[in-house]
Amino acid sequence: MTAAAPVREDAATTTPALEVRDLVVRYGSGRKARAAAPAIDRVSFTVAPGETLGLVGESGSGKSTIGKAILGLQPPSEGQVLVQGRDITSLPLRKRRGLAADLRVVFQDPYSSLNPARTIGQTLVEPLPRGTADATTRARQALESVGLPGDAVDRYPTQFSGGQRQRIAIARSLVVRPKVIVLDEPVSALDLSTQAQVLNLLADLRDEHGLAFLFVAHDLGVVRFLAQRTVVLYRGQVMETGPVDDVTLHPRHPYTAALTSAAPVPRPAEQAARRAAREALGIGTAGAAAPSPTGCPFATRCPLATEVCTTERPALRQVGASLTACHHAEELTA
Amino acid sequence: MSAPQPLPDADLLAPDKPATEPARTRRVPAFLRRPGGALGALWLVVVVVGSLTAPLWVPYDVTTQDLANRLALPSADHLLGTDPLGRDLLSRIATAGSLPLLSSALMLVVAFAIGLPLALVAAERPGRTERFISRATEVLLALPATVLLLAVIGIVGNEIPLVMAVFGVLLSAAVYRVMLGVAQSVRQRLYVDAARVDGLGSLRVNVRHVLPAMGTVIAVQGAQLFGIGILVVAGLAFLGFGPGEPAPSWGFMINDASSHLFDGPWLLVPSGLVLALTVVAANELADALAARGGAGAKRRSRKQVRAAAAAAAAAQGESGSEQDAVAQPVPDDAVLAVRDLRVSVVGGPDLVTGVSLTVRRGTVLGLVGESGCGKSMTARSLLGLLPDGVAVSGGSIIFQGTDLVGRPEKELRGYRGSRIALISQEPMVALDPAFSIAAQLTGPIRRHRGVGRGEARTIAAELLRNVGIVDADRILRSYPHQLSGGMAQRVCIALALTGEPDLLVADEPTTALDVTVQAEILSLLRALVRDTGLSVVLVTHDLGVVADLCDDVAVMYAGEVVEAGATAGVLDEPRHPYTMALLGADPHVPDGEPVPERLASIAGTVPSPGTWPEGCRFAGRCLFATDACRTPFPTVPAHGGGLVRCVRVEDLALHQISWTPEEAGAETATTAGGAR
Repeated sequence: MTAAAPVREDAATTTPALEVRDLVVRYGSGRKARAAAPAIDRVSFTVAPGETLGLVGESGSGKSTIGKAILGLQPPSEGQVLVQGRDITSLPLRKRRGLAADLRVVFQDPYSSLNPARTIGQTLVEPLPRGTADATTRARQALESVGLPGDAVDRYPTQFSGGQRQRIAIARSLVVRPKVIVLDEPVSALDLSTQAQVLNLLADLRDEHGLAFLFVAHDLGVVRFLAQRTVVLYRGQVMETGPVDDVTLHPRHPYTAALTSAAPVPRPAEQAARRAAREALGIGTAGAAAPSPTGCPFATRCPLATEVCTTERPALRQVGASLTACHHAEELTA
Repeated sequence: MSAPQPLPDADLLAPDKPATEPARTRRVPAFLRRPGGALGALWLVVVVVGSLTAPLWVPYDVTTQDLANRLALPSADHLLGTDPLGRDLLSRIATAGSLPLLSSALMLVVAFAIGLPLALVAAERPGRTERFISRATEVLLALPATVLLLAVIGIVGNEIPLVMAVFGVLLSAAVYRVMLGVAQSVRQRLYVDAARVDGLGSLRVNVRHVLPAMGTVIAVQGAQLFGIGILVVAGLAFLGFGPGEPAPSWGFMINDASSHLFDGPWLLVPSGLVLALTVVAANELADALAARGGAGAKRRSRKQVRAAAAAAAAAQGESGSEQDAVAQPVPDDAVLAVRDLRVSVVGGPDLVTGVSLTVRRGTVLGLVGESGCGKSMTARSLLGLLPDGVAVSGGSIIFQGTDLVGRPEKELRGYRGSRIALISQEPMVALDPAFSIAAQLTGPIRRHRGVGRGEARTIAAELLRNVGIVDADRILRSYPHQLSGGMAQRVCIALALTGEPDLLVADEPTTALDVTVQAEILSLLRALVRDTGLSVVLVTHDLGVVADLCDDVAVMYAGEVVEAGATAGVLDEPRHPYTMALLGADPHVPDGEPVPERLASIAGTVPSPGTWPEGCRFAGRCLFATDACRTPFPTVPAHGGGLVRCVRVEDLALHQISWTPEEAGAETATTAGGAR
């Protein structure tokens, strides 16, 4: 069970490994960009040490943008990013070298995230401070910790399959013994059996090293396997957040319900029932109409939407075990 | 439950491709293996070495006149003949070479020394810095180069190297333009982001990660500009700017020759040829460098492909199905019956072997498997749309009673689109961005149904409504880029339906779509099957999609079907270890079931075509493999009309063996001592 994963009892009281406060990201500059809806709109969450938080949403939900903002690849317009309690929001990438040991990333595409012209070893020692004495040893250890032989350091990325490359990318993030790893869709480019290997590996690493993962993904099934808590994003806003089993099994937000019921399961009978349930929900087609800027972003597709949903943006509030941004959350659970 | 012996993790490192090229062994660089590149490089080396060492070896002094031998043709004394003053041409050409070569090189250095760093800086800082640099270079580009060069000559005199250095400054704007584009695209690569997250400084990111990836373009641009530089120097000399008589220069020699076209036509040949060859050599070298990436791709002639197709047609006549003991009869309600299909690279390995499938009218057959298992190749062969160099090499594809294998292309065209249609993974790629949806729909409608323009538009609107598009008129007026991915896939389905096909081949139709959009598209396909009696072959890697839509399913592994039958049978009671493993690897569980703590995984990778083992192709990765798996064996009937390709299937069922994931921690434990 995911609940068995070592979430510390005192997680709420200790300093979070990663904290994001009221993050806003706008693309572009000038008056036009200010008027447009921001890509990320006041998103907040924390990840405790040893915990995995799933950041779920469809394309355009802004989940990858949040990852980039945390890593410093996309400057935030407002809000704060804290790693181990230290505010790194406006720390430029150049000054993050010391921080790089705490905050690491694994990207989605294992083919373009490794420089084809450099050996695995050269890539792995890159985050280490120059002149680290045991750099090669540490690179070998990191490779061994992800189930690859240490002598892979002398080889080039093209000599490895997609799954092996993703292991190398994970090894690269482990080589500095980090606290937080942002996993940006780490398995979505992989085949099913390889995906399973990498997910198992991530679960093992989390449990062995007490790592905090921010797991960015579009697939709730995958998130449910690895995460304890999840944040559901839609158009840059948090729709629902809470323990992953509560969010997926008892969604309080109509969008979460749409998302969970749309993911097919490989059992024909159960899938037929889920399909019927999904069709009964009556979720509108994606991209039908632009939502009102003042209201709920999901209102145009929502079967429960009323007048208030287009005029007033719902705030996150406690419903059951989750926080939900929906005026009509109670109607769905009824 | 018997605990199977997990395979050692060592074979995780089994290379997915046989290592054809041992990395980093010293070899002839690819660009030198092309004749243009090799000859170009050779010529440039000869010219450069020859002219730089000219004083050491030229037979005559450049000013030595031999008036008795004016305008002589080549002879033993004068290998390239003489000029109007009887001076030796070879000596003069060789001596004159160093100026254009060196000053072009200087121009190159200046152009790149300015343009390249600016491009790197601009690529790193989009926004104000990039805009400023770009505007500045545009000003530079707008200056009339020829006039400016003449003005420089007016000021500094005949100092050609200095003039070319100034020309290099002008060219740096062009270098910047090209390099900026390349640098920007290299910076998009994730490994650059990864290096930045690693905390690498800007200089090291550029030197280690950005510049090496730009190497080819830099070399191509350099070689091309070098040729241009030589032409410019020669052009200036032709106009009289450059070393004055009696010192030799290529341009002046050509000028000189042009005035003796009638009394000494040979004079033009040596100097003109050397100049032309040098410029051509630089460009050939550039071409060869640019083509380096595409080297090694073998092209196969159409004739070869046709021959293979004919061989396939002949082979199917004589040989029965040798793979399956049961020659499956074609049921009456079958729209499509594939029997013992073999698809191969022409003159190369098989990609698909012994595939038999049956699609009944009004049903959906799923082809499922991981990448590299041949499911897409199988689907494409149904339409005769295999990639170049790949052909059906055996078996039959019986569509509504007609065998399509070996039919001429012209005849296949009659089926494609009208009776068998295709939708693909990338709807945006399938639609032409230059035409409105109406234009893309009405064309095929008029072709397939023989109706007029107005009627075609009415039918188009109706088709769009059939695929669940409410505001059909607005969509008809739009262009592909104005549509969302889900909407574009609906349009593609409408496009596929224009010919009222009996069979739709859907190649990963929802893979690129969001999960909520995928659910909508799957519902649409289900409604079409139910309402119109359409049959569908659905290629997918997602077992959930199979469970949702397919009546029957064929699980493919390494080019063959390993398990097939009714979807409920195959997915609920899998009998082949590969199917079991795939299901165990899928993290999606029905509501009410706990999420597994570990997922089943399969060690290693799918063997590539040409390296398939004898007997069971899955044996190398299977937890239950025995010696019996390594010799050929027949398939076993299963799931009603389906089959299982496993020699141990009875054994496994008897002992209720299933594919179980290994223990927690197994993934990180390889050799002694992980990273602590």
